[in-house]
This record gives sequence, C-alpha cells and structure tokens, in this order.
Amino acid sequence: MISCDKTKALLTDYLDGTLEPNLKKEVDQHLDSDPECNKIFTESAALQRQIKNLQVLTASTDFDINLRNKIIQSNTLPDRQYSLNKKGLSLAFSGTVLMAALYMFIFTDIGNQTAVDEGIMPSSTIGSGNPGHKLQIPADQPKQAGLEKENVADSLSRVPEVIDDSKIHLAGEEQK
Amino acid sequence: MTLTDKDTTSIKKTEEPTDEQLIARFQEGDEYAFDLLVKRYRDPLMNFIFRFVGDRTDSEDILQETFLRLYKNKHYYKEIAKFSTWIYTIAGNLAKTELRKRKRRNLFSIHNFMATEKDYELPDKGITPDKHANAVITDTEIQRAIDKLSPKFKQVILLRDIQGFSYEEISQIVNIPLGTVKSRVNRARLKLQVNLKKIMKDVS
Repeated sequence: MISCDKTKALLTDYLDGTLEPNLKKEVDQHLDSDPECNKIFTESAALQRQIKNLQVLTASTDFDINLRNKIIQSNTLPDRQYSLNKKGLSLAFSGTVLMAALYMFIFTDIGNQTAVDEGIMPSSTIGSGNPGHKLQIPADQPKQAGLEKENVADSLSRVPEVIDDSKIHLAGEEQK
Repeated sequence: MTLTDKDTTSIKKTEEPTDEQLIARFQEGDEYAFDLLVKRYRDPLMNFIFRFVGDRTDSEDILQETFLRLYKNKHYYKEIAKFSTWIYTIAGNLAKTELRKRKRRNLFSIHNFMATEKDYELPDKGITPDKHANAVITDTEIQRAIDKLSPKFKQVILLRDIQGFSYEEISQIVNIPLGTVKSRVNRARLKLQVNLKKIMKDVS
C-alpha cells in the first residue's frame, strides 16, 4: 500500500483524472483506509471547484482610452529619456573630473614643491603620507635649530672629492 | 446554394482570426489587429493579474504595461510559441515584479506594523443581498489564501485553475519543466488548503 506522502503527491493527477488505473486503485484504497488523507482530497477538490467559480474581475470601461493615451505618451518618451541620459552622463563626467582634481590636490605633493625649494621641508619627506607637514623650529631653541640646519648643509658639502682606497675594507678582507 | 462544412469553417476563420494571425498582422503595421488583441485579452488578463497582486489599481496599471510592452516589442514575438503563452509570460513577470517591489517597500515602511486588511473589490453579480454577501466573503477568503502563497505557487495555480491552461502551456509561460509544473501545482493546492484553514480559523 502507498504512503500518505506519495498519495498527497498524486493529488493533482487524481483530481485531473489522469492517473493510471492501477495507481488510481491504490490511491482509492489508501483514501478508504486513511480518513485524514481522504479529508485533504475531498476539501482540495471542493476548493478547486470554488477557485474555478471565483467572480471574474474585468478591466474598467475607460481602459482602452487610457491605454491609447499611454501608448501616445510612450512614443514621445525615448527623446526625453535620451536627453536625460545625456545630461546624466555630462554630470557624471564633470563629477569625476572634479573628484580626480580633488584627489590630486590632497594626496599628491603638488603645491609642496615651494616648501622643498625653500628648505623648510626636506625632499626626503616627499610622498611620506604627511604632505602638509613643515619642519617647525621651536622658538626657545633657535641656536640648536640653526645648528641642525647647518649640519644638514655640512653633510652635503663634506663629501670628499678623492676617495682613499686604503681606507676601504671589504668584508672578509684583512686590515693592513 | 447550400454551404458545405468546409465553407462555414472558412467563413468562421475569416470572421475570427487566430491570435497568431492577429499578431502577424500587427507586426506588419495593422493597428486594428492590436485593438482586437487588446479586446480579446483585456478581461482574462485583468482577472489573472488581479488574482496575482490583489489590488485593482495596480492590476490595471500592470495590464496597461503588458499591452504597452506588446505594442513596443511586437517584433520579438516569434510564431514558434502560442501568443497566449507569450502575453501571459509578460503579465506574470510584471505581476511578480510588482510583488517584489511591494515586499521591498513593506520592509522599509512603518505602515507594515499598522497594516489593515485589504478590501477586495469584487464585481456585483446581481444576486440577492445575503447571497451576495456570502459570495464576497468566500471569494475574499479564497483570495486571501491565494495571497499568502509565494509568487511561484500563486502563478501556477492561477494559470491552471482560473485561466485553465494546460500543464504544457504553463511550462512554456513559467519556463520550467513539465514535471516541475505538475509538482508545483500539487504543492500549491496543498498549501492553499492549509492557508484557507488558517484563515477560516481566524474568522471563527
């Protein structure tokens, strides 16, 4: 004998009358022995009949006129849509350009070149992620700051012109 | 002179062109053929869409959109499919889109918490008041049970039981295999029964 689940799966075929005779006999046997399944089948058949007899809703009387108007309106729509798209595109383009300019200004060192030239910002800080930073000299240590400035200049000027080979020791080479 | 069966059939054919003949004429620029298609499908489609979305105003908007799409995309129709399955596919997809939109709106709307039960405007059949009242209640309850179904179940049960399409036609409209259509209709019927029982319990 077939199970409840299999019987329920055959509900539509049973109601449509498309079950094979042998299978229909099995379903009938199950329905006779199972009042729960029987109730489901009976109620479902009644519900199906009710759905078929549901009142039919029709379109309003001015539907045809409204549809015609909508079609006429839609015929003029593509041009409007095109111009809207065009406007949207130009706006998007201007926005992108503006954003790119803003990005360049904030995250790159355009405008800091003068600070480097004037010596208030060491060239080594270019692109260090702190572009607006200027070397500040504390007011109470003017001499020390002056020394630092002098030392930077010294370190650049004190490169010996002739290199003495004897002072250069390579790794693993014994000193003379 | 008497007319043979063949003659009467041919006269009938010239009087009532098939849907496929009408769409072919419309594709060639015959606007009158479009009007005939609208006249033929306006009410059945309206009923189908209304049962799908449960609101008259929305249904009429969707119906207009369906015919507008037919008007604008007439050349997309190929004679390999029946016209009826094609137009019901368009209407069904638009109805499903409307339900999705509503779901999204309800998610973000405060009205969701204060939602009142919907009123279904059903046509007057001109019967006695008490019978009419009973009929409205029954229809309303059934409609509520249909509304509780998910769109995929709702679509197949409406196409099968209200519009009377065959399983093969439903398979074409919904674009799913025949076996899936049958099992989906079966499950939809069982679910509908459960929904209706819950509604009846709430009413009593």
